[in-house]
Amino acid sequence: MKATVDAAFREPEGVDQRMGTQRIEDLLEALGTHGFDRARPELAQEIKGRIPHRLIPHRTDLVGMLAEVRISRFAAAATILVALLVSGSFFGGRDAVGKQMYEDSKLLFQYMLAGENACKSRVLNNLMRFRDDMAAQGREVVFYGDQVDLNNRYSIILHWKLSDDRYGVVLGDLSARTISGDMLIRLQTYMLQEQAKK
Amino acid sequence: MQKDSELTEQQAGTAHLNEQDAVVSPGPPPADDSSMLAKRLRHGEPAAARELVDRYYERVYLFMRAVGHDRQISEDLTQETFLRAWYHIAQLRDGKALTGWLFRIAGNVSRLHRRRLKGKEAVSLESVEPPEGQVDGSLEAGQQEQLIRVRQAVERLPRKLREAVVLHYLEQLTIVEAADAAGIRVGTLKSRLNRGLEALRKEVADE
Repeated sequence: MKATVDAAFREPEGVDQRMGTQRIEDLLEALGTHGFDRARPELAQEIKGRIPHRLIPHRTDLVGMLAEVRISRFAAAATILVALLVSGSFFGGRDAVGKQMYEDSKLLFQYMLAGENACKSRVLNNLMRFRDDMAAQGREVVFYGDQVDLNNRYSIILHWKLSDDRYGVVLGDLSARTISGDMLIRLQTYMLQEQAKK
Repeated sequence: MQKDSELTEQQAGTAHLNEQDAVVSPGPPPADDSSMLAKRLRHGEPAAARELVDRYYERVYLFMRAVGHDRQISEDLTQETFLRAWYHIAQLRDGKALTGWLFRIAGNVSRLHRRRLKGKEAVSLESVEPPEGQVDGSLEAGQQEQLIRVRQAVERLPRKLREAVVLHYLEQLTIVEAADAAGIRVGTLKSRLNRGLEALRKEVADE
C-alpha cells in the first residue's frame, strides 16, 4: 500500500497525457484511502441498533403508493382489493406474505363496509404494538393517545427521538417521516390549537 | 430521452478504459462471500444485516463524504442508506449485485437529500474551515497538499462525473458494479470516467 501511495505522489516524467492520467488515477486511489476522515466506529453500532426485529422482504406497499398519488380512499381501497385478488392467486395465503394480505383485505372490507371508525381501534392497536417494540429497543416513544384525529395528516400519533434535533413521527395519514425539533414543536402547537377549537 | 443522452455520452468517450477493467475487482470481498451474505439477507437473518453494516458502513460513509456531504450529514445519510436497504431487501437478487445494489441506494439517498435541500442548504462549517486534519496526518506535508488539491478538484466536478469517479476510483468498484450503482450503462460510465479524469488532469496540471 505504501508503495502505491508513494507512486501516486511521484511527479510525472514528461508531459505525456497518458502518464498524467495514470498519475491522476493513482492520486484518486490514494484519496480513497487517505483523503477523508474515517467513519466513527460507534456509527456501526448506531446503525445496528436500528435493524428491524423482523427483517422480511418488504411487500409492495400499495397503500403508501396510492396515498402518494393522492387518489381518493375509496378508489385506493378498490384498487387494493383488485390487486389482492390477483396476487392472492399467486400466494394462496400459505406464507407470511399471503397471511398479511389476507389480514389487509379483511381490514379493507371492514373499511369499505363500515367506514373508517371500524378500523381506527385496530390501527391504534397496531401503532401501540409498534410503540412497545420501540420501547423494548430502549427508545423513548411518545404516543399521543386515541383522541388523535386520524383524518388530519398534520396530527402526530407517535414521535421518537432519532438524534440531536431529529425526530421520527407517525402522522395522522399514517405516514412516517423524519422532522426537525422546530417542526415537531410547530405540529404540536397546531394540534393544541385544533383541540382548543373543538 | 435518458437513453439517448447516455448513448451520446458513450460515443463521446475516448475509451482509454478497456474491457479488462470490468473484471478486475481490487477492493470488495470475494463474490462467493457476497452471494452467501445476500442469500442470508434475503432470508431475513438479523446477523446478516449486522454483517452488512460491518462490511460496508465505512465505504458508504466515505462515498457520502466524497460526493460532498459534511460529516454529520454523511453519518445521517449512511444510516438512511442501511434503513432503506433493509426496507428494499426484496430487490436484492444475488451476491454479485450486492455492492452495486447498496451503492445505488446510497446514491439515491444522497440525491434525494440534495433535492430536499435545494436552494436552502446553509454553508457547512467544513467549507469555511481549513482542510487540515481531513487527510491522513501520517503523510508528508507535500503529499497532503496534493491530496487536498485533488479532493477539491473532485468536489468541483459536475455531479454525474464526480459520482462515477468516486464509485470507481475511491470506492474501488469494478466498472460493472459502478455502472450498476449509478444506474447507467457500462459505456456511459466509461465515458463519464474519461471526461472526469480529463477534467481532473487539466485542473491539477493548471495549479
